[in-house]
Amino acid sequence: MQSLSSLPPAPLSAIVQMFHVYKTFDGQKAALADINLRIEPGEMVFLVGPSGAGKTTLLRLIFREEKASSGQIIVNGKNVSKMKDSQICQLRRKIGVVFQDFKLIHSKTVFENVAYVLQVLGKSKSEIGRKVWSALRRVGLEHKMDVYPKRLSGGEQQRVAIARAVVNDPVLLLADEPTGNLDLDTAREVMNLFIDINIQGTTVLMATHNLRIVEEMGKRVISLREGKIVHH
Amino acid sequence: MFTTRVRQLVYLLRQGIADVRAAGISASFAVVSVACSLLLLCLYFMVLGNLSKALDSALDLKVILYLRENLSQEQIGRLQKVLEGTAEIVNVRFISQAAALEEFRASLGKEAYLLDALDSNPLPASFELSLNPKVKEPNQLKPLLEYLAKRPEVESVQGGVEWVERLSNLLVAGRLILLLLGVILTIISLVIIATTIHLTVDRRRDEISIMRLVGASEWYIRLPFIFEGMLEGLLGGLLAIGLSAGLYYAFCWKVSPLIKLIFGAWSIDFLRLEKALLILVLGSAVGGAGALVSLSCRSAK
Ligand SMILES: Nc1ncnc2c1ncn2[C@@H]1O[C@H](COP(=O)(O)OP(=O)(O)OP(=O)(O)O)[C@@H](O)[C@H]1O
Ligand SMILES: [Mg+2]
Repeated sequence: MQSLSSLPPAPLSAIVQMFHVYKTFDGQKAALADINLRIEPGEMVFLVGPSGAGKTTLLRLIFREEKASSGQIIVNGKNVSKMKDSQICQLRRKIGVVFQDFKLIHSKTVFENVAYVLQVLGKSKSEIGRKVWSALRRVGLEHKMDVYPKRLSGGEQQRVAIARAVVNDPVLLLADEPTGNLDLDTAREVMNLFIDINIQGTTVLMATHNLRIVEEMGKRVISLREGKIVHH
Repeated sequence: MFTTRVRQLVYLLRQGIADVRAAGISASFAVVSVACSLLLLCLYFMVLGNLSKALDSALDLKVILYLRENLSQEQIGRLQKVLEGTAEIVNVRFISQAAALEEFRASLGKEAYLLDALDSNPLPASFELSLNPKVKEPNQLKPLLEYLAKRPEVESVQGGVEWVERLSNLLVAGRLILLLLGVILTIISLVIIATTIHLTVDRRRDEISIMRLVGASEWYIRLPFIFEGMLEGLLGGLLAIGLSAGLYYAFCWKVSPLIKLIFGAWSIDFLRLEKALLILVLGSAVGGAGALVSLSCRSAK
């Protein structure tokens, strides 16, 4: 009889899995070619590579902003390539996304920007109030609830965007160069926030140019170059 | 699940109202244009309702045959037999010269003394005929009345079918013109609403992409725009009803006495309740359709 430890480890269900994924935009060479990867629950993974390497495209495939040209993508146990519109909505409700340019609604206050996500889901007023407050507390902005985004610094705006991304407890947090518009100190602060969020259990996948910060973190890194994963 | 849906709807309805307010001038244009086209429809309903009512009352209006002077008793008796034997006539009443004078005197009231100055009775004798209410078509009455007018005993016929005929022609023409104008204006207001919605969609483009990002369904994204269109249409409908009420009272005040004078007791009615409701429903429908047109143009891109 074999001992338990000699058995191959049971494959935990991954949060993201890609099998031979290709993405080609009309009349161009492949933006992504033969991508295979696996991201486990609770991991924090950096996606690096030169401009045009396909980082943004890869993230967009995960929340179905783009559809893969071929290959299979499994997110949280569901095959993203076969999803209908209504299922895509369900998928996106489980994924938080943060962008370089924050993408806040300037006609809404900080509170409303975050509350928005929960209003879409038809949550009750009290639940929205509670969750938004705790999300803003997580990013240290609970005192700026009634301020409009224009009156916030870049770092603060990005923290609001992060609060919005985590307010509904996503299983996966995607970030596309979230520190790209910030100076090094502010970038470190924001990065620490992502670390906090990851420590509390959310899987994080972040595309970034900022190799210096990536090295400091000592986390898993996926390198892209011309649409392919490169192994060192 | 149910309360979740209700909360979502309430939120979207609020968004729609906010959008109408934010659209400002262009929303007011949309509302006014809807109001104009629906005002035509209101007028159509009012004119139609009142004219057909007038037509009805015109047809059970009495026709009066004025007789020549100096007819003998037999001549009058013979004519009465003929009249009573006619199917279209249900009731025949003879009014002698003396009776006519009495009626006239009564109608003058206080001024009756004026008649004392007359030394002979100037009023002719007459037959008052009630027509069969089943005879609705003016054409059916025409030959009869022409025949009566040509009879030697008859001086003239009053309450002929000519104006009834003219009225019914007017009814057909008026209906067509109003309907045509209404359709054209409805199309125009649909386009104007679609344009307003287009502007709102443009204004909220960033918001919409963020909504998509956080997993809002396509319907959730569209509903506020549809509400916006419906609300603008509804406001247009209310404005149209308000305007036609204004026109109605102005008309009654200025013109109604005249109409009473000409047509007797006939008065004008305002829009009936179901028609007013229909106007509101139509307004919202045009608004909603405008929004859908705008949204489908957009997603076709
Ligand atoms: N919507 C699109 N239509 C056409 N081509 C696109 C589109 N999006 C991306 N591409 C192309 O795909 C390739 C990868 O782009 P992508 O944005 O993923 O790179 P990236 O690694 O995010 O670059 P950066 O670091 O500059 O953000 C590029 O050659 C780009 O031109
Ligand atoms: Mg990019």
